[in-house]
Amino acid sequence: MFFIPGFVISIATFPGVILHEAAHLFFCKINKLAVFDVCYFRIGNPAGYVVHETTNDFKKAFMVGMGPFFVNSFFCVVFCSAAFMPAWELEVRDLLAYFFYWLGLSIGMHAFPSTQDLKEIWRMMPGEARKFNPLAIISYPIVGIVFVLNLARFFWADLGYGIAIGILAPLAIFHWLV
Amino acid sequence: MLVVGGQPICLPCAEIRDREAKAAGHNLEFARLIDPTICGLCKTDYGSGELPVVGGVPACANCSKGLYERPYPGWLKLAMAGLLLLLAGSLWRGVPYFKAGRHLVLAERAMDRADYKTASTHFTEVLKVSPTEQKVLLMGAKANLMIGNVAGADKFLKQRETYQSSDLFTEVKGLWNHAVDAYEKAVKAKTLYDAHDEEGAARLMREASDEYPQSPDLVESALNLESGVAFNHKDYDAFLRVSKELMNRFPGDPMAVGGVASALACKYAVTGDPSYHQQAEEMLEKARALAQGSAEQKTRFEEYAERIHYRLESRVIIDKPEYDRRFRQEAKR
Repeated sequence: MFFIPGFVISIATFPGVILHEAAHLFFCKINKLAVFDVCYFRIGNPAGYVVHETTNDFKKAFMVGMGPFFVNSFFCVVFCSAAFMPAWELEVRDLLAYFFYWLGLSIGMHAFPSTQDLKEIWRMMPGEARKFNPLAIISYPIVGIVFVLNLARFFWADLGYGIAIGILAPLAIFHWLV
Repeated sequence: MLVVGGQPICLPCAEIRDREAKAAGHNLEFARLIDPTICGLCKTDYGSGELPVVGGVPACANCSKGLYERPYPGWLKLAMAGLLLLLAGSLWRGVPYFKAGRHLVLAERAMDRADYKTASTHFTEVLKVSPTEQKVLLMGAKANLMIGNVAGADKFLKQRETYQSSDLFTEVKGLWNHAVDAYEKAVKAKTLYDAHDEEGAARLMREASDEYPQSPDLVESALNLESGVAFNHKDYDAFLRVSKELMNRFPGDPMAVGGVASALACKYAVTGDPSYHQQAEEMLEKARALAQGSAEQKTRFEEYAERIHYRLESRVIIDKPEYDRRFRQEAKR
């Protein structure tokens, strides 16, 4: 296990930060939550942020908090689709493939919601679950896993997640389809 | 303005009070004093009219519109559109990689069931995109080595300059070394054959074939030389046995089938047993049918069949040079 300062990782994977914040903004807009400030990327901690209005509506909080996770995961798969075969499986010397490999993994690495976003969902979840809100009930395992993975970032869980969804899962599907 | 303990306080005083409280070992909680008639964003004073609160901040209509409709910056939209276009282009350009990937999956499956011929065909398609992944190259090389295609294996191995040690690498390296050594022996065997040392050539070719049994060329050469030696020694039983082995190995080769006809004709010539005659004729017909595939094979077979028929009719066993000397020189004249 080797340690690389967070800001270095953020710089190396900046497209993921930008997309994560853009997704935050998108979900704030569609949920009609006021946005006070947006920073798509900066050298610092956090590397990007969206300051938005809080809400007591669980669905909105879930979408704003977890939305970037799904958006980043989706684009990780999309961009890695141009790369998993040449760059991972065949190791073909193709610069464009390696560019998308980097782009896809950068995006995948920043899929995890921030601890702040998760805490907000986590705070509202028990009450909503008691009201039999189905979204809250199915959120439990998702948020729980993401919470643990988020804490495991120190152990490169974010990179592992990017590789898993951007490379290994498409490869497995490809093998299954052939 | 801030509020502490229900009392309004300005920012400089709040900072002093905060420091004093911390020095005394406790914390004060300050809250921002909000004037609901002043827009918290543009600071415009709306007199006595209270503004709606957005996220805890009074916001006028102009400002609140901006809070809910914050646009994406142009550079972000442009970058996303550019990337998606590039992605579409890359996917279109990457079609050969997906095709190669498909062949790779099929090749791996063929390798799992030890169908190296099929695997080699698929690996040839994979090679078109110039992969450098070690396992792919080693498996491609192995598939080719297992069907005796050393040149094909070399094309895979040349894709990388260095290889990391692994079980597969060790296996392929072993196969490669055996193949190279066997072909060196085969070259020496050819030299001996050219020097009319047919027995030495057959022995060395057998060694080569045993060292690299995956090569059909070496097996065929070894059996051909051995059948030649048996014929020269007039050991027609051995000649028949080796010819049959050759035919069993290469049942689609008209000359291999013709070789059995030749051996059966020899047996007929020395024993007079008509069953050998009949079997030889059957084998010749079978070889003739197989030779119809190409003009070259047909010509070669006809030349061969003429000599076998002579043997069957005359019960005289002579080799090709003698037959040529006796009958074909005359024809040339």
